[in-house]
Amino acid sequence: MHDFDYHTALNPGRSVVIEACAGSGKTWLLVSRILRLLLAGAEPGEILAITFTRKAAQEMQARLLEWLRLLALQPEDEAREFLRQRALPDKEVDVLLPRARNLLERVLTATPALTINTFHGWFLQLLQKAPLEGGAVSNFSLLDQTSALLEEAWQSFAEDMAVQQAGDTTASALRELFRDHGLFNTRALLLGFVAKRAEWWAYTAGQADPLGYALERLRLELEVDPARDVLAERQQDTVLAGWHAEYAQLLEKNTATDQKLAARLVDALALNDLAQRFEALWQVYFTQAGTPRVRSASPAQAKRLGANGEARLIELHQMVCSLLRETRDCLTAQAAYRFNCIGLRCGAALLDAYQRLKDARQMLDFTDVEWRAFQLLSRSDYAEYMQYKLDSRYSHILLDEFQDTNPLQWQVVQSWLGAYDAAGSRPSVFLVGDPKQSIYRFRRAEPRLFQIAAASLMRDFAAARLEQDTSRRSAPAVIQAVNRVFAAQPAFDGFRAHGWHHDAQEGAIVLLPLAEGSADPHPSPLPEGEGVNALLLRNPLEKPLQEDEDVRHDREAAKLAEKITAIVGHWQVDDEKLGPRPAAYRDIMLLVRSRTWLATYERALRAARIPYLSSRQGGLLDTLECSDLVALLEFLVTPFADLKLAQVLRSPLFGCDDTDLMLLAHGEESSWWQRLKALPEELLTQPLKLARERLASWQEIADHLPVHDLLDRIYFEGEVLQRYGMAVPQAMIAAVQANLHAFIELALNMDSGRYPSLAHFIDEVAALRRAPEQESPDEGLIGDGSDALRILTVHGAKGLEAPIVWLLDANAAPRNESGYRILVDWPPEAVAPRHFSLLSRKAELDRAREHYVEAEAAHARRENLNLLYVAMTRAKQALIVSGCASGKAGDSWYQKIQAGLQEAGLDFALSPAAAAPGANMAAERVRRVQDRLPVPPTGRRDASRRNAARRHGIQLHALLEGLDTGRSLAEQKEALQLRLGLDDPAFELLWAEAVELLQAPRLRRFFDPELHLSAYNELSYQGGNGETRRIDRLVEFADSVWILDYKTTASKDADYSMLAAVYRPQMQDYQKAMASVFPGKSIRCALIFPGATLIEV
Amino acid sequence: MSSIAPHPLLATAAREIIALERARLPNLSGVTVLLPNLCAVGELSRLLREKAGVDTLLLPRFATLRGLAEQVDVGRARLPASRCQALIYRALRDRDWFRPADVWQVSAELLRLFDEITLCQVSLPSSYESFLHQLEQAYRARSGSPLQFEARLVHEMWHALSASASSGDGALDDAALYHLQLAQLAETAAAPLYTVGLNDLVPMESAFFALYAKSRPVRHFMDPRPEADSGSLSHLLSEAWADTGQSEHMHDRASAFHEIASTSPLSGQHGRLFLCSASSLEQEAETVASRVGQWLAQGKAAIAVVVQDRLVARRARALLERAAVLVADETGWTLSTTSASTVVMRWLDNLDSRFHYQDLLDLLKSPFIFTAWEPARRRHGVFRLEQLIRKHGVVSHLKRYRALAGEEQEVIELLQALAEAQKLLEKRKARPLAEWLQGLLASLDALQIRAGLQCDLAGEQLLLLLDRLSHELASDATSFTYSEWRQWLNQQLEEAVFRDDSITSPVVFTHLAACRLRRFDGVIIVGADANHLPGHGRESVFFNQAVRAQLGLPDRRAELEIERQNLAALINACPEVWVTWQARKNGEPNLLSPWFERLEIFHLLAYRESLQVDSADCSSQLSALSSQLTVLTVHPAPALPAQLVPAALSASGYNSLVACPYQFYARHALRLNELDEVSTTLEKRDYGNYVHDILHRFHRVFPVLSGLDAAMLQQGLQDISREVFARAIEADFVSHAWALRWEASIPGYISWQLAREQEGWRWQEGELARTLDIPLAGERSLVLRGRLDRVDSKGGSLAVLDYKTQTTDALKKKLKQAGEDVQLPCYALLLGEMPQQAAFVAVDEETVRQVEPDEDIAELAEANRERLRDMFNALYQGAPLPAQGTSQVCEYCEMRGLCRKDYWNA
Ligand code: SF4
Repeated sequence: MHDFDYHTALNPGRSVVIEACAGSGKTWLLVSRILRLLLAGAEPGEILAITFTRKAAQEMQARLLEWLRLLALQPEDEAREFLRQRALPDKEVDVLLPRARNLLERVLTATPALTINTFHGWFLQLLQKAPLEGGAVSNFSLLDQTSALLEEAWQSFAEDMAVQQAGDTTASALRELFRDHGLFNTRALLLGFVAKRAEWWAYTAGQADPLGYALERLRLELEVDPARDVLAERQQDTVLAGWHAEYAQLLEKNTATDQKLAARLVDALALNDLAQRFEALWQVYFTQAGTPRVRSASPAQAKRLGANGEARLIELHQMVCSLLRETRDCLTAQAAYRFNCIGLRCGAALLDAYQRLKDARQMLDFTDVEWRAFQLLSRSDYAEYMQYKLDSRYSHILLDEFQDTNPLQWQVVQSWLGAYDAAGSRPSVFLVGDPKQSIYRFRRAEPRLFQIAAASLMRDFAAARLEQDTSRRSAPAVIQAVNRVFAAQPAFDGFRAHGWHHDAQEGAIVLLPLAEGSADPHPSPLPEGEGVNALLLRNPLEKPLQEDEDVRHDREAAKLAEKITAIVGHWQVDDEKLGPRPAAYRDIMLLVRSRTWLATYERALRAARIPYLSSRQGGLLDTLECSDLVALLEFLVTPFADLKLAQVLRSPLFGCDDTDLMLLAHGEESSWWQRLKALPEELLTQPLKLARERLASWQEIADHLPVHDLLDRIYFEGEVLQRYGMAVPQAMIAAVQANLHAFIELALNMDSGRYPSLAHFIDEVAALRRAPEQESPDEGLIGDGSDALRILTVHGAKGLEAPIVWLLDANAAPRNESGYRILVDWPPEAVAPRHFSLLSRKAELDRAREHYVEAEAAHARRENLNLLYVAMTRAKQALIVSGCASGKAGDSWYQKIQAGLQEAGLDFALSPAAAAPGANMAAERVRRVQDRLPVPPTGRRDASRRNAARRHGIQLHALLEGLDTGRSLAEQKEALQLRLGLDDPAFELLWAEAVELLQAPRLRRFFDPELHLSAYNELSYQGGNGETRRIDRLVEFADSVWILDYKTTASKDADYSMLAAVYRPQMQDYQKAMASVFPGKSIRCALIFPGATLIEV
Repeated sequence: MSSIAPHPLLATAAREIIALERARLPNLSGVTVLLPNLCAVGELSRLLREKAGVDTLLLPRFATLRGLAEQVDVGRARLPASRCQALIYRALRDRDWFRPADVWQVSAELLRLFDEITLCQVSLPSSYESFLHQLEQAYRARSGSPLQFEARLVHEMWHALSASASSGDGALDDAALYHLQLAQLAETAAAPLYTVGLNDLVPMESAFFALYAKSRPVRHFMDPRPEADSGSLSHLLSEAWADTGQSEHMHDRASAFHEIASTSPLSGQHGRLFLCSASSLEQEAETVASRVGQWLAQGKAAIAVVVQDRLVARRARALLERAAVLVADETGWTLSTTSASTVVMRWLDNLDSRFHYQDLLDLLKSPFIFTAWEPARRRHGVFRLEQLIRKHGVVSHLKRYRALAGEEQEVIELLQALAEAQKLLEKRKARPLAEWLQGLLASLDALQIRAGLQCDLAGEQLLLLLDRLSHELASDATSFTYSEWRQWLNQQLEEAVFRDDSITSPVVFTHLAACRLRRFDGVIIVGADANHLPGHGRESVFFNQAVRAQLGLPDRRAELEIERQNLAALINACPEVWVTWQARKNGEPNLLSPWFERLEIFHLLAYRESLQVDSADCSSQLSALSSQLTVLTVHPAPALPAQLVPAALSASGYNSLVACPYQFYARHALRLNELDEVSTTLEKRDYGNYVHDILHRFHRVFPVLSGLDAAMLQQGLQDISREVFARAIEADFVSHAWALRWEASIPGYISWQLAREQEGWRWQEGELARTLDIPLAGERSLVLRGRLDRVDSKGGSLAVLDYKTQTTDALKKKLKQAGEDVQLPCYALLLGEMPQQAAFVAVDEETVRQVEPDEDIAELAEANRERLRDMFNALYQGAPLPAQGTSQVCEYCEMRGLCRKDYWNA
């Protein structure tokens, strides 16, 4: 297993499919392959690499550039070695070396560029270029958060239903769902339907009546006749009636129990209500568990009934049972069908409402993007069009993490590949993935596609198929544990024992004993013996309520904190760059399957002063610091929100304690803010005083500033970063500060959205907070260099690794899917699902669909194992597993690991670190805070620009400048108005003024071109002092030059000669300057005031 | 200022212009100099006078080519873009090729394309077939239906537009008008023409210069050829960024350059360019702000921040403003992102949502509305309205709000004004765009929004825009529906740019293109990552790059070339350039701009010297806090002063005390509550209240069921239920779900009641308000109060029952541990005499059941009373109320922000 065929894998001339285990270096392979393609002469624009997350795409791109940089900069020998490692044949190394060293530049300058993208990103690229025909316009924005819109769709759907006539089918279907299944389940069901819209569309594609089509297919599959009244048929079945009677008679003669049954049978037959009657009969023949009562022959019974009687009893029992069973099945199927009729109808209507909303707002969500891309390419002429419409013409396609692909995506790829045939060319395809790491079924990933795609590529592209089962990540001990655990899991089929690369690396596997609860969780409140009436109740002032489950997790958490303290600084880990060194917090990754007990673990870590970073997906707004800020903003828009104000007071923003709060607790009818404002000075404590001042000043600006700027002011004036830095537990400082930054960044982002306002921001934040975790903002990332351990869910840890991995709460029972859901059977090779229906929790499962449900359960079991595989393979050197004792753990991860590891001689710790731990391994207080810049106030706002008179003056100047006095004025009017962009009243005023000036007889000689030599408007000159000045109008006559300055905005009743005196020095400057330009002419200066008044100065 | 060397290109231009125009001195007013923007005028003037050596120089006419052309009146009316777009829109609408929602978008795209076609002097073939053929060749593909459609769309609409334009009043669209103006300019050429640094001419403009040159001299001054000054910085840039198509390998170029210049003209002692990576947005912004600060402190007087990433720039601007450094921002914002537009759009949203309360409050809280009112009065009115809305849970409709207002004058006036304004914008009738705009403006007047906007920079520009559009479109008579108009308006606000030009500052935020020919002492290029530099431009939906190039339209390569020239010229002219970017973004690697990446590698190859610097020096010291701060990491456990100990308590208050004393403190001693949330839908809590109400009414009519007709009872209960639910259902269809859910439990309830009567129990009373005095130490007492859902009697014994809409299992769990849920014992105490039975009734299930505590109720009640008494005695003696932090309790607790549980250290 050690000699993986790199030559084939990286051979640019071949298509290849690689199944590569966790930690085996998939990215290395893929990027090496890209490098080899480029070396072989492929243009960057011909390469398309698709991976599953944006992060992976970015990392791949970064890795490629890093390598190309190395190739360019390294000494030649190292570059040669680098190429050899990538399986470049020796004879080619020297030939290609110059090219290799220049690849960086080729990649950086390529247009079109090399594409490394996600499926969604690539689909978007396609849609932006989609043919305009058929109205697919690229004018949409991408909706990456759907929950708020779904909520809106739900409301709009409900509104639609409300206005429907009483007889509307959908409205009554919805009522029926409500009645039989309740609001909660109905909503879950219908939203579940919407979540499966791609499947629904694929299933009903091309059907004029999708609903009718889906129901008809289901009807055929269930083999039901919805019109059939099976109970009435049974009722009228005289033969059956005879059997019942005969059966009853025989029972009468039998045991006492049977005699009772006989009576029940008779009662049942007397019932009028057919459904009740059927149920009652059923109970006579069947047990509670739904199996036929056991009736077998016995000598005693034969004696009671006679041999014939006994045989007949058994025969009748069997015949009736099978008839009843048949009836029951028929009813179940009918109910299932009925449920689908109403459920699918409402689901389709809700989906419709959702689609309409998006349409109206010109938005697409990811599913739409996928579906549209699929539709686009499934038309072969469009697929062909896309091939030439894109600027890139791909001839090499690389697909990463293929196990995460869904059927629709695979079909898009297939159509894309198919379109090459029309062009008569064929790309090379490189596909890599690991079905064992498929953990995204809930995002519709289909791991089985891997084998299908592999087969198809081998067939059509002569692809080589390779397996890479050697981990470059984990120590032998970890891999051995993985091998043992999974070899023992028959459901984990296709598992091949892994090899390892680092033979000598030390490893450890630790399986901690399960944490137990208190011996007797609920001590009987009644002490034994005499003191019976002394009922002892817990005094909550003295003792908190403790549930056993809490106790167990507390204990596990305590153990966690204790052990981590023992590991950090003491265990030795291998650092890729530095070699062996003592373990630090950042070397440890805690993994949980679900976040249920996270708070408990975090509390223990805090208590032990262990810095941690739980970069919880979607957790930002749930953090206390963000909640404080939101509370502050809410208070600012809604000043009577007392609780919000109280929270703000208690937060480190002001740091009030409870004594402060109690000062404000007095008073009726007034809000806390009013009370705070009214609090007499002598009662004001320092924090309250601060709060009063700062809140009032923030209230002033809250209306006017954009949210981000408001927050920035608050951060700055409120010393927010410093105060939180001082007030929160040591272990959290870095995380809290990162979150505070993340929050302001969130505001920054939302602010640059359309139509921002504070109230709107608060609503959006509330909506984000309600949204499912993958849609709400993540907690802030702590900057590099800080030393904190990470807490992640297994899903979130995909693609990550750590020297020490701790799997927490491993004994929890796997959650099993139940309840209302959508049943889809989409065989990976098929174009569309083979089955699509709704499943309710309430009704029994009909027989026709049992196998689908079982198949789903099998997939879920497999995925549970995949998840464990992913979790265990994150560890480089040490894997620690802990959990809590539980009655219902059944087949937990802990037990699987325990079973796998039995009798294995394992190491329980890494070697002690050689170097003594540093004096203080705890994170330093993060204090990077922007303080005042060392500069005086700079820049000024020019208020006069907004002065109306001044603006008027500027406009008049512009008008006079634009007017050609040699032409008819009226002709120019409209053009000038447009140029100035003024509305009618404003322009008319201006125009009148201009005309008055131009046509005043006294001024005529300045404006009539016949009467002077030349004239300049807005004449600029540069004078001796290096300043540029501008003269409104300069008119040159034979013997003189006139400099005119418009002062038309002066008030009509000012004393113009007084005013003119003010301008004299300025005019003299002009005069002096012009004297040098027009030597020999007399230079005259004049000001023109309203009313065409000319005053010479 | 003048300590810095002049801009090289300007210096050359000034020298040569003076040499050529020596005869005119000192009056150059007859000469025209064209510039890419007018920022360089000052410096060029200075240089001209310097070179001319005269005392006063009459300056040449400085203009941009556009500006110059605009002065020319060709006697043809202008067809504004807004009208062109409306024309195209109508033509498209008639053809029905697109979904209505897309038509504005397509028409905007077409308009853009047509402009380009005119400006690039591309001649579209007159026949569709030959155009199609042309496209086929350009695409190198045979035509399928998508290609045919593309060809047809462009071809047909182009001709449709030309036809409708020429049939009208002879008005010309901007591009065509420009063409005529240029032609006339060339024709009447009277003066020599100089251009400086115009590097982005379109073919139409190049043609103009060629024509002009026929009658008068034209001289172009362009960036000097780098080779001209070998070993210089511009030479280095041009080598590093050489077009790879025909040049040698980077290694060879680098070593060749090293041959020429043994020290780097770029870095080292020259300190001209620094690449500075950041690890977060905040850090990048801080780097920018502190760099600007240092420069200002050093006395630099012209600092440019070239904004590639708007978010970082915005953040940096805020950091600078904190330090009282105002920034002249030339980059601007689209109007749609300003709060001035928000108030207008929110107004329209209100019309669309029938004054949904969120839209309404958001609108009324805007500082732009009702500006004639005293601000305090407006705030008070809004404040009162919000309280009413929250209290009564009214969600929409002016009429309904009006009904709440009662006698509150401010609220009434607010609502009346809204109603008035609404009338001015009647939505049903289709009408021309200009009329819609007039209606909008009138309604803004009615709300006193217009006056508000006028006092705001963005608001003012918004009003100007609306006025201008309504003016331009006055003659367009096409009717548009309300929604068509709204889409159009959205697009207009999306495209219009707002700039705050009221600030004068040595620090300018600007674009790369706007830096042409300007001289700065320091430049920071912000957001220089691969995503932002080179910029993306806006790609047309028509054709692709290769086809555009074939057709003669500007393509991506040409754009990139211009951008690169601008960048090189900027670096070349500026003594110190900092380039910042985030090397990691959201935890993902984020690549440096390929241009700088190449520059860095080139430099490394040539000089083994990196251009990257550490950003560490930019963070400054932590300032001392202005006041002390207690460390808040401990469990709080306040002790109440006697006057805050509640004198009365309900069962739920007691429950809270048991669950978490701190929660009790916050709720009942501080009396803090969450604000009422306005909710459109019925909540579980409301449901519980409805059920209580229904059952109480039912039993008042039917105290005893036995002996009555089952069907009649069922009907009776159902009727009451329908009545109670009716209003909720009317407001929201989903309430059906609750009503139906309850109806499903009706038979179960009736049979449970009948069974209970069988046991001898009779309904006696419901909704019983009771209090009980519990004497405490020192003459004090505590009033326990509560409302009993129901009391039954059997002979002399009584039972207290409490209806619950939870499941039986949940109720059993509540009662599992004695003393943890105190409701039943409290009711037992409140009853006055000890009941024989106290039970929850799970009424919300198909089979209705009663759930009783295991303990004897009398004993339980007594123990609870004693505990309560003891606890209150303790409270009066100053016993603290600790926050207990039990997970299950905290999960549903609203006081987390007060107890600060998340920050506890232990
Ligand atoms: S959050 Fe928990 S600890 Fe805090 S007050 Fe509420 S219940 Fe008590």
